[in-house]
Amino acid sequence: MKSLTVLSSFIFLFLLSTHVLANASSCVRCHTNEALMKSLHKPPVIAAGEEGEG
Amino acid sequence: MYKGYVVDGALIKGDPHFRMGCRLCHKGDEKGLGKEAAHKGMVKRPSDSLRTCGMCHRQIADNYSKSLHYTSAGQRNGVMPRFSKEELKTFDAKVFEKSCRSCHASCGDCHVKAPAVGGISLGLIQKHKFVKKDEGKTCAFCHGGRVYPEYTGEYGGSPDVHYQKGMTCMECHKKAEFHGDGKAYAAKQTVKDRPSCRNCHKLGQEAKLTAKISHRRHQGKVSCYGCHTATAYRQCQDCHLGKGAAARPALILGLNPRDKKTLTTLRLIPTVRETFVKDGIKMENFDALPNYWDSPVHNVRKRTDRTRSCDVCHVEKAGFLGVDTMIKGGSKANQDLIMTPKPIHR
Repeated sequence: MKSLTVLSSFIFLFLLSTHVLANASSCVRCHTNEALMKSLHKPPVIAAGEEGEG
Repeated sequence: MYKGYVVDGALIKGDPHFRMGCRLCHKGDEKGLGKEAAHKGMVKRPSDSLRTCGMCHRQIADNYSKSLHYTSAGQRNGVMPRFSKEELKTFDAKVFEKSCRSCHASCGDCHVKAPAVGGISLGLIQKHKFVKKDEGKTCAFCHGGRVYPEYTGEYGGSPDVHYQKGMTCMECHKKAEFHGDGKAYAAKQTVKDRPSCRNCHKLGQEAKLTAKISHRRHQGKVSCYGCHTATAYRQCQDCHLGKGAAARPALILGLNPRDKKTLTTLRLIPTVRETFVKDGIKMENFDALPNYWDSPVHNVRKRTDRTRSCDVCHVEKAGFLGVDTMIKGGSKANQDLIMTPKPIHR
């Protein structure tokens, strides 16, 4: 009986974690990962021309 | 720069702004695999459409839709008298929407992500936290050419006394001024409850008798800035000509073009006769407006050359706009701003 409870708890936790991971959007997965953002970042091309004087 | 794209994961759990997912504001494909797929149809600046923030902050969004920070109408109204009717149509189509309006501030420019100026942006202010204010990263980015460096002293001379006392933009410029009150003002000068020195510095409450007398004598004739602007400030020249901007420091005193009665600090504005020629606008009524506008220079000190000695203005006439010091080929209306201080009879 005890082993059955442990097994069902384990299955429940596993399903819960996979559910959370499945629901975490790709936006969140990437944009909360600093190392990934650093690797993907491309510096913008700065257009030559008039200087801002605001 | 990449840090400007990093979101704090802890915020997503606690901040109600994220409860409905990224897609509510940014669109795109949350389930897309890879950058290209996920970003397909994404809206980079969701608050460019006020409807986005207006879903929850309706009153603020409604008011803000009419505020000058959003409409940039002050720029249009400021230059409009120089155009004929036909030229105004061309200006609206070719210049205003593409150039001036690109400077409008969205909700996100102040509350989420520092605005991009000249292609450079600091990115997310605090990892996508919806901040109430962070003047150094928001106000300073757009107003970093003139106002901010003059205020902090970076442009030369001494910093503004208010900055030294620890005051930042929103100590004087209140939230209501930015969000607007639902009224479409024509220019910042007409905005109700805009900052005034006298909100804090009441006349008649001066500690020194000399200050009390000076204020009484000059009241209604000279603006606070006229005497209390400390150092030379940035004068824009040759801008919008496609050759790059050139700015030089100078302190210029002359009559306020809006009332022609009060002596105040003037700033050279960048519009010159050739400014819109490449867009097919000659400015038929160019001379209707001067090349100098009254400027609330953010470089205030209690003691300046002009508060120390009456002779600086009344004898030396230091900084006063004159025919010799005006820009060449400028507007005929510049002449109307010349003011010669009266001699003092001792």
